[in-house]
Amino acid sequence: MKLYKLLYISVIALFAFFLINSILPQVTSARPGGGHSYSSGSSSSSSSSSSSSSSSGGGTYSGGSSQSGGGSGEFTWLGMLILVSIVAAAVFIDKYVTNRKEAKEILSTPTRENFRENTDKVEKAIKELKKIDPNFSKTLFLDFASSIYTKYHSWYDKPELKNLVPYMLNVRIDNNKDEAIKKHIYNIVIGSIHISEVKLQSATQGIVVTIEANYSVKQNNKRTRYIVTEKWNFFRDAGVLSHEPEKMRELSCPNCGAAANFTDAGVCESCGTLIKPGEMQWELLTSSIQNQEVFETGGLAYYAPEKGTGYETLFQKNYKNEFEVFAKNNNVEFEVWKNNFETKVAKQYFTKIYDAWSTNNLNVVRNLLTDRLYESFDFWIKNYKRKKLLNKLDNVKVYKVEFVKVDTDKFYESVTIRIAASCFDYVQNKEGKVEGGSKSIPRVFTEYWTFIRRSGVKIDDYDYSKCPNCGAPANKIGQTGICDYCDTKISNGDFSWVLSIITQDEVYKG
Amino acid sequence: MDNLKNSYKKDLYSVIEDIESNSKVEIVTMIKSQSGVYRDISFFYGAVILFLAYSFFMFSPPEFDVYLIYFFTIAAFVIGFSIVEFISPIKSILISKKRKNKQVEIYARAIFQKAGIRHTKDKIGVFIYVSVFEKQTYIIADRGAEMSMPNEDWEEIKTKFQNVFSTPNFYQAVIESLQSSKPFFSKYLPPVENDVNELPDNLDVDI
Repeated sequence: MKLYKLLYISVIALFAFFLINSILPQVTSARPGGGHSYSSGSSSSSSSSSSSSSSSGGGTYSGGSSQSGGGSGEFTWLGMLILVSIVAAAVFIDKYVTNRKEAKEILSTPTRENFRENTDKVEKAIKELKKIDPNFSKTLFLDFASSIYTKYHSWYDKPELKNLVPYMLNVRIDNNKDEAIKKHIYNIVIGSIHISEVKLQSATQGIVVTIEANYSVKQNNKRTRYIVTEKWNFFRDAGVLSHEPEKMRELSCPNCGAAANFTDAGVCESCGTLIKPGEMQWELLTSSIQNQEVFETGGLAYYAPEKGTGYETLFQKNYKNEFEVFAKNNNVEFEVWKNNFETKVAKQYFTKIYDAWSTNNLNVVRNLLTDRLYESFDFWIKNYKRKKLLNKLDNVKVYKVEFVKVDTDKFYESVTIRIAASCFDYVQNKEGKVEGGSKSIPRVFTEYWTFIRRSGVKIDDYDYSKCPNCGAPANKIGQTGICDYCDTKISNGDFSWVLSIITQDEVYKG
Repeated sequence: MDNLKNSYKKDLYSVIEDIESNSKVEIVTMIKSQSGVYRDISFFYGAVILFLAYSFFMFSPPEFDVYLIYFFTIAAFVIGFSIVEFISPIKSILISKKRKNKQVEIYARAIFQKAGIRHTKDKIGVFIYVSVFEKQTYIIADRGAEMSMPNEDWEEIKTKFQNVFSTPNFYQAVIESLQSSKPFFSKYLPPVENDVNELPDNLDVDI
């Protein structure tokens, strides 16, 4: 019960008590067994004795003489009972009223169960899609969608936008010549991307992805950073098979594989083929912005209370079977593999990444992150640096690791775990003063971490200070995730596990 | 109570999802305990009771102790205020219907705006607002949805929702009214291929 309500009820109770005491002092001052010795001559109305001894009781407000028998001003048992009953009744009524009120404030947004049902529906549809299209890979599809999204926004005001004609049904090139109004979009960072709907129809197949991203818009020499949530609806003709990883990751002609270079009409400049919408590759049908807000850095030191730590863990449907299949495909004993993964991959990645974050130096863990996740982290690190702040995560402890989901396809495997951990999480300025969080009270939290690895790769853990391909020190892996020693991209899971997504409890849908 | 509320929300969302998968419309439903605070009514009637008590003390023949007058008049205000504030049926009687209707409309329009329900490409957002204390429902249809069907059919839908308060279980009645509106939306706003929900799942309705 809120403090002000309790205060309010107490005040009412006291007034009620004093009221009763004023009218019927013999009630509130009565002692058990009738031992109170009130003079019968003094009436409760106190009208004749208002001038006398009103202070004799030191607390009563009636005529006073009725108190002369002696419990002068004491709250006796009946009085206390009345007082307590009034407070108890008021608390009960308040709770009953409050509960009724809370039960009646309902908004038709999906519950966790609704999300779970939708996730199961999507997973089932993806399984169906894999039967029709064995090349389909969720990981690669999301990389493809991210690539389209990023390129669309980057090329928004550039002639290169025509290279998206085969991939987008309605590409509108901004021909606005007025530089003051023309928008230039840059620094696109995708925070999260997931499949929210799959539609398998007789003539077409559709996949809707929900993208949470942020980007900067320069217009009239002024810069605004936006955080957006968008839904992008891709489709293709039924019967089209997905392409190999190289064609899905890099925009290329779906016919000849040459780097994307198309005319305004969608004809490949290399092979001369007209790429019609959805015939050879996924095509963007529609897009809509669900939410858009201006990004402010003022909240960098703000700490919201952890929301979903107490939520029940969301396991994949039949997750035990799925993990058994995964283990069989990899010729491992599941329990042995699980223990090894927990100790040598999950916990190691967790502590290394958190340590790197804590020192604003992601380069030391570049080999552990996918490009998308690295860009997302880098965006936040740069904002902290710009504001001369440092988000410290000290004394990181992992309490529990639960294996919640596994997904396999022709090209990639992904494993999702839920990690329960704690650390001293705080933001300090350059003088070392704590501006948010706490250096002494640990923050307990849980997160869902998704790792991906190329199918067929058997390596789980390796020396993380080295390049998993050439063994050279992992100190020259640039932002692109390419090892400078062997010139090989190592951030796409081709050699071992890389961390792909971190999802908070309250948004994880399975 | 939390489990019941969660279970009801799940059913409510499922019904709406069913309607939306069979039509182009995007529906948001909100059930709120009350649309206005109306504390001024409680203060007013608290003051009335205080005045009555004070008048009683002033004009009654017997003499009363000064402390009795002091505390009793204050207590009279507190009791009068509390009775009106915490006993809903009494409060409801004391507030004019016109004011209640207006408050419901204001709140519904504010939520429609705040939640961004107008942000659909074809303006097919529909907001169904049910206010329990005022016993009112208010439906706001965006332009595209409103003009898609004859006004007579809209009135039929609105009447069904207004009648939820005359049933013993109005929560269930809201769900049944939604189900009965499905044929209208399917007929006048038929589904389109590759339609996507344009409204976010986590609507911002904090006013």
